[in-house]
Amino acid sequence: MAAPLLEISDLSVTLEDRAGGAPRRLLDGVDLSVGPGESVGLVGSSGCGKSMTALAAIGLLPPGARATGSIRFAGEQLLGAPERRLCQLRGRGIAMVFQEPMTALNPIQPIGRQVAEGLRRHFGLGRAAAAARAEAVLARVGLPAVEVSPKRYPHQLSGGQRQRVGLAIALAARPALLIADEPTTALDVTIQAQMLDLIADISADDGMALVLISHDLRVVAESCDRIAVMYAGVVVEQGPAAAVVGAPGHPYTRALFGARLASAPEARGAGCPFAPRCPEVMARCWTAGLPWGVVADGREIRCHQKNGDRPRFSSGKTWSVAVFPVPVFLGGQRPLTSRGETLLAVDSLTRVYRPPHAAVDTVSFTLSRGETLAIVGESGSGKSTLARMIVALDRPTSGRVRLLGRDPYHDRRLRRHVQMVFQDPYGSLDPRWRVGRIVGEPLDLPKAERAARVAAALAEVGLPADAADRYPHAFSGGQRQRIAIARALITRPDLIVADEPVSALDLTVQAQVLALLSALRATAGRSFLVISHDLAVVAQIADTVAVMVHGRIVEYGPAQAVLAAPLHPYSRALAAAVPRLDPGARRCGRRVTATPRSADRTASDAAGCRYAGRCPDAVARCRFEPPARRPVGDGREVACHLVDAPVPGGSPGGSPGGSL
Amino acid sequence: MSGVVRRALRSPAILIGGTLAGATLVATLVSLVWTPWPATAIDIAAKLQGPSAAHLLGTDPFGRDVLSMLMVGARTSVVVALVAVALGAGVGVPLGLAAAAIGGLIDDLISRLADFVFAFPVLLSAVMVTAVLGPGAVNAIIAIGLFNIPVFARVARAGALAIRQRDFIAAARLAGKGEAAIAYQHILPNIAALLVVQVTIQFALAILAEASLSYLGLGVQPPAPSWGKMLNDAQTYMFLQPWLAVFPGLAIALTVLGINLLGDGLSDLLDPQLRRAV
Repeated sequence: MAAPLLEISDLSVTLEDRAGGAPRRLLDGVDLSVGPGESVGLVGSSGCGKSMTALAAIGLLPPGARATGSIRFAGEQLLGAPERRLCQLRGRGIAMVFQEPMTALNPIQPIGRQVAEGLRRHFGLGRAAAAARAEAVLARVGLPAVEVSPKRYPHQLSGGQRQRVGLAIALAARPALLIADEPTTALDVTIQAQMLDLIADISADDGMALVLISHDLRVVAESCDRIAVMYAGVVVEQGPAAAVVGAPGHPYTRALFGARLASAPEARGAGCPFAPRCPEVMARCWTAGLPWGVVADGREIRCHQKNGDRPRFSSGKTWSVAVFPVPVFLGGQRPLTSRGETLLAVDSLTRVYRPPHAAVDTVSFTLSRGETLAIVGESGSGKSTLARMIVALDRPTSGRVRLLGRDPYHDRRLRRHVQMVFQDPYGSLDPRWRVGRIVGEPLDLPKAERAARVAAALAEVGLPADAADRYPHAFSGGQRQRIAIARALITRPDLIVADEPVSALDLTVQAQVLALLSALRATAGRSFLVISHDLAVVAQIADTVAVMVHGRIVEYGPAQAVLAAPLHPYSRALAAAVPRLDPGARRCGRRVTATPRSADRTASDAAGCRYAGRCPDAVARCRFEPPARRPVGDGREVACHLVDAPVPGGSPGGSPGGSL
Repeated sequence: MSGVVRRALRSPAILIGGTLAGATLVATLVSLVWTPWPATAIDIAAKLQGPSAAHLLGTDPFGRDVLSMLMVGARTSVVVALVAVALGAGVGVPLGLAAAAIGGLIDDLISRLADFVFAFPVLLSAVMVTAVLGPGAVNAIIAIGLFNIPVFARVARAGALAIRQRDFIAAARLAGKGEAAIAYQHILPNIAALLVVQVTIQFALAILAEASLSYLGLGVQPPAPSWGKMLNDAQTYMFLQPWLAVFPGLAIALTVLGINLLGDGLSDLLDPQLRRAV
C-alpha cells in the first residue's frame, strides 16, 4: 500500500466545559488513514465524533478544544502547525463540504464569486481568470452557466443546487483530499443519489481522496472503498467496504445494520464504549483497553471477542443483518381485505398559496379504520400541507375533508379524534413545560385522572413514569419523539397523522421509534397517516402508499405492490434512489436523471403531467394532457399515460430497472 | 436554576450593575423610614455647604441636606419609572400578543399605531404631554408610560411571531386550545426572557426621562425633591458650590449605568438559555 495521504493516529480531543465542569472527551485515540485516491466512509450515530475528526484534520476545532496525538497530511504534521500553513493547506490540500448547504454559503454573495474566492487566494488569479475557472468548476458539478448563472445568489437555488455550489467551492483548488460531512443529509432522496454519484465520479476522475461522513451506513456502503465505524469517539471497526458490509464484525456495526439498540449511550468508563449497549458484552469489556484486532479479510476491529481470530457470529439470533434493503421490511404488511368503515375521506382537496401554483392539487383518497396510509414524496410535493389540512391546522382552498363524516375545520369537537406527531421533536414540545403537562395538554380532566392517563400514555411509549416531572431538554431526540407520540395517543384518537416522524432522528433511534409506531397500529380501530420521504420507513409501517409529486397523487395502492414494483416513473425513480447496502451498487444501477427539479415548474404551468419535465420516459402527450388516476389491477391506481394496461405484478413494458 | 444563579454571580456586568441599581433601590426603601435630615427642612444658616460630617453631601441654597434629598428623590425616580414601565408593558405586551395572534387588519392597526407613536421623539413628546396635562408626578408617569407601550408591543409581537412558528403551538391548537390560552400558556413564558431584558432597558430610559422632565420643571412639584430638579437648582450655583451639581448628576448617571449593565448581563445570560431551549 502506498504511503497514506492522511494519517490520523491516536487522536484525542477534549473540550472544556463552559460551565466549569470536567472537560468532555470527544475523541479517544482515533486511528484513521486515507490513501491517495482512496474513498473512506466514516459512519456512526450523531455525537460519535465523526465531524470532530474531520474538523481536527483541517484544523478547525471549536474554541476550547484541545487535541493530542498525530495528524499527518502527506507526511506533514498538522497538529500544532502554524495557522498560516493550515490556511495554505485548506482548500488546496484538504477541502470540505458541509451538511447545511444554506448556512455554508454566504447569502449576500453571488455563487460565482464564492467559488472564485478560493481560486484567487490559492493561485493568485486575477478577477477575470478566477471567474472563468469558477464557471468551469460550476459546470463540472452540474451547474453550467447557461442554465444556472454564476451571478445568482444562494437563495435563488434549490437545496441540491446549493450543495453543488458547496462542492464546487471545495473542488475549485483541486484538493488532494475532500472531506464531505453529511453532504446529502439535508437533501431529498432523489437529489441525494445524484449528489453521491457526482462526488464519487469527480473523486474518481481527479484521483482525489475522499472521506465521506454519514450517519447512514447505506450511503457510505455504496460509494466508498473502505469503511470506518465510529462509536463514542472511538473507531471500533475499519476495513474494506465489502468486508464490513458483508460480515460486520463489531457488535455496534451489526447494530447499525440491524438498527436496533437497547438504550442511549451512557457515560463512558475505561473499557469499550459500546459495552453498556452491547448484547454480547463480557466482563473484560468494562475494564480492559481496546486493542486493534486484525481479521483475515483485511479488516481491523476493536472488540475483545474478535481479537485475533475470525469474527464469531452469535448465530444471527440477536441481530438481523442487512435489514435495510426495503423488501425485507415488508413483514409489516397486513392484508387489506378486511377494510373497515371509512374514517377519513378526502375529496378533491386543493390548497393554493401563491396562485397559480397549487401546493395540493385535487387530492382524493379514503382511509379506513385501522389502516395505515403513507404519503411519500420529496420536499415541496405538498405532503405536509395535505397533513395540515387533514388535522384542520390549515384551510383548504377547495375540496373537502371529512372525518367521521364531518368537517374538522369547522367542528372543533372533532379535534380530539385526530392528533398529530411532528417532524422535529425539538420544536414540538414547549421547552418551558414539564413533560407531564405537555402530554396531558389535550385532556380536559380533573388533575388526578389526568395524571393517571399521562402515566399510562408514557408507559405505552416506553418512557419511565418519572419523565412527567422533567423538562423536554432532559431527553434525547428519540425520547422526545416518544413524548410527542404519547401526547398524540392521550385522547385515544381515531387517526394519528405523523409528519416525517423519524426523519430528524439517528438511524438506530429511527428503528426504535418506527417499531413503537408499528406496535401502536395494533390497537383496534386506530388509523395512521404517515408522511415520509423515506421508502424504508414507509415499507416498515404502511398498508397503503400514496406517492405525491407537485401536489398530486401519482400512484396509490397497497404498499406491497407499490414498493415491490413501482409503476409511475417517479415512484421508480424514488425507489431507485434509496441507497442500498451493496458496495459498488452505485456503479451499475440506473439512477434518476440529473434533470433538476426546476424543470417541473414549466410542466406544472402547462396543462400536462407535473413530472413530465424530469421524466426519462416522457412522450409528447405527457406535456399537454394531465394523466388521470386509473386503476391498474392489484388494487393500485396510477396517474401516468405510460402505464395504462393492468399489469399483474410486473414492470411495465419498455421501462427498465428501477424496481426494488 | 442554580446554574443560572451561579453564572449570574460570575458575570461582572450583572454584579456591578446589580450593585449600582441595588444601591438606588436601598436608598429608596430606607428613605421611607429614615433620612439623615428631614428632606424638606430649611436651614438658611447652613446653606451651600460642602461635604462635612454633619451633611455628608453638603447642603443646598436653602440649607437642606443633599443626601436626604437624594434619597427621597430616588424614591420619586424609582416610583415614576416603575409605574411608567409597568403601564407600558401592561398595555403593550397584550397588544403585541394580540397583533401576533389575530394578524390581518388588527395586526396592521396595532403595528401602524406603534409606528406612529414611535415616530415622535420620546422626550419632546413627553414634554408636550405634560405641558397639556399640567406638570406633576402622575402626568409624568402617563407621559413616559404612553411612549413605552409601542416598545413592548413590538417586542412582544416579534417574539410571539417567532414562537408561533414552532410545532408545539400547532400541537396546542390540536389539543383544542384557543388563541388566548395559547398566548398566555405557551407564548408568554417563552418570550419572558426577552421581556425581562426589555424592562431593564426601558426602566433606565424612564429614569432618565423622569429626571429630564423634572429638570424642566414638569415632574414632581416643589417642595418634593427630585434628581432632575436638584440639577436644575444647582445650575445657578455652579460656581459657588460645584458639589451641588455633582451629586445628583452622579446619582442619575450611576443608576442608569447600573440598570443598563444589568440589562446587558441579563440578555447575555438569558439569550443562550433561550437558544438552548430552542
